[in-house]
Amino acid sequence: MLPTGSLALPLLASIALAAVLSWLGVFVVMKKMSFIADGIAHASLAGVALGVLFHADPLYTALAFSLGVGVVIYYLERRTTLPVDTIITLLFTASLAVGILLMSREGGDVEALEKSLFGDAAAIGWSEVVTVAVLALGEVLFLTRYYQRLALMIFDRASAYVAGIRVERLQLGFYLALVVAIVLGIKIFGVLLVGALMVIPASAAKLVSRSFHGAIALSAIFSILIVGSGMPLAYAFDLPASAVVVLTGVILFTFMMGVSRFVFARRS
Amino acid sequence: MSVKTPAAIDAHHLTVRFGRETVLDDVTFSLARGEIVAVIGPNGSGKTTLLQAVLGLQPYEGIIRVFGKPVRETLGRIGYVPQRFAFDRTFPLTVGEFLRLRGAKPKHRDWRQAVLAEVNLTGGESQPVGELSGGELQRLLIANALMGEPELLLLDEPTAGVDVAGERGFYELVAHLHRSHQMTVLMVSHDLAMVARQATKIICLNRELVCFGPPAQAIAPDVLRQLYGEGAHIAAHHPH
Repeated sequence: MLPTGSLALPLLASIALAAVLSWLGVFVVMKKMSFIADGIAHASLAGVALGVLFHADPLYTALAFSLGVGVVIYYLERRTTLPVDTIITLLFTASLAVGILLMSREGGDVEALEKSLFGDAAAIGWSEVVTVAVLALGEVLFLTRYYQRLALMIFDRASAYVAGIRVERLQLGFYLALVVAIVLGIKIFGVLLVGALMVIPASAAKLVSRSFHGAIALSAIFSILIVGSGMPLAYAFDLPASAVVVLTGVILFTFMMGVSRFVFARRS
Repeated sequence: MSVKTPAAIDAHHLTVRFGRETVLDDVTFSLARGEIVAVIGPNGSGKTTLLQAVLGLQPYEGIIRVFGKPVRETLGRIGYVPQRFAFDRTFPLTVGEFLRLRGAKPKHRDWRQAVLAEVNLTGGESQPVGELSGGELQRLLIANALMGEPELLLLDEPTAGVDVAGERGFYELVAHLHRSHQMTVLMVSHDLAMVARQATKIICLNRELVCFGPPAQAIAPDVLRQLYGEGAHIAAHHPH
């Protein structure tokens, strides 16, 4: 399906992105909102459709549209009493419906829809690698500066506020960081599977870590392992990369569940 | 001419509404520095709302001043212990990591250890938070509040879910901190017997201010009836 010679660029971009997704995933798992990754990914389909319709790069139209969705999630969470999962469901189904309508227009690009749904690692070129590298670096800088405050805000918003943390700005920053990482991930892993790269490494790390820093480090290591082994495997056997990567992650998660049971059984 | 020191908390005609519902109606009180004040009242009487308004977490009508200033300007002088910490017990986080989450004011290891010793948490910084008992977790939350060296400590039903022995120890710790740090304490509590022993003043709420003053004067039978209905009385905890 993909020539072996083209593995380097997709692998480079995928590993960088997977590490960022896995770090954000620690907070998503901590906040018990694993659903948000799928929600934002599905919502971005409307942005992809707009790109196809107006002959613009779908990556950038999806990014712009999804950043808008992130701001709306933040605004509705602050200004209404709706639970965040309800807000995300409303927005992602509405955006998905808009995306399907736009895609279904005469001359709608079914191929672009398929690539968005399942990912298109083979299409990763230098321009995508540079985009991923710049945005991933921005995410890493954001997380390095704010990860402790983010954790406190997620544990108890009032405590974070009293500690002098500007919780509203931080919340918005967190949502926008999530959106950027997820939309970048769609290009490689697809709408349907990008959420796994956010949730599986973090959940596996949570099973076997005893500290917050340990969980962050292990989550990144697991994500690199999953992508670093899954993608070459897909290329070697001519299989869809995103599906193999996700299944590799599921195998690792299952293994870590066994490890955690063994470790905790010995401790108790 | 002497300059009057601003009160720790001044609330004037404080009113909080949730939509059309008035949760706190025209509450006025003033807490001097160094007092330990308990807020009592039945469920839904506005106790937590009062604390949230003082912290600026709840929109309100009226005036609230903390150390003579709007609360936003004095957050660095306030410590807060929440009613319930939405902490996923299975999430990996050590005691030391938890105390470092505040980020803005990194404190040295010695300071963290001194604070942990003060709240009698002896398991060490590497102990996972998920392994703490309910009482230990509440003491960790107090330690977290103390990390910023507060002059005012706000506690919102801090012993909810803690057993009787843990509850007694917790209030003794609060009294000790109050004495040793000369800090002002404002705490919401359901435990009238503890409140009567530890507090210098009591604020009785039932959506409005029912009483305010020293426990001996404030917890009168007619006040208890007004707060909790007929048959209400203070039951003392006996050591087992």
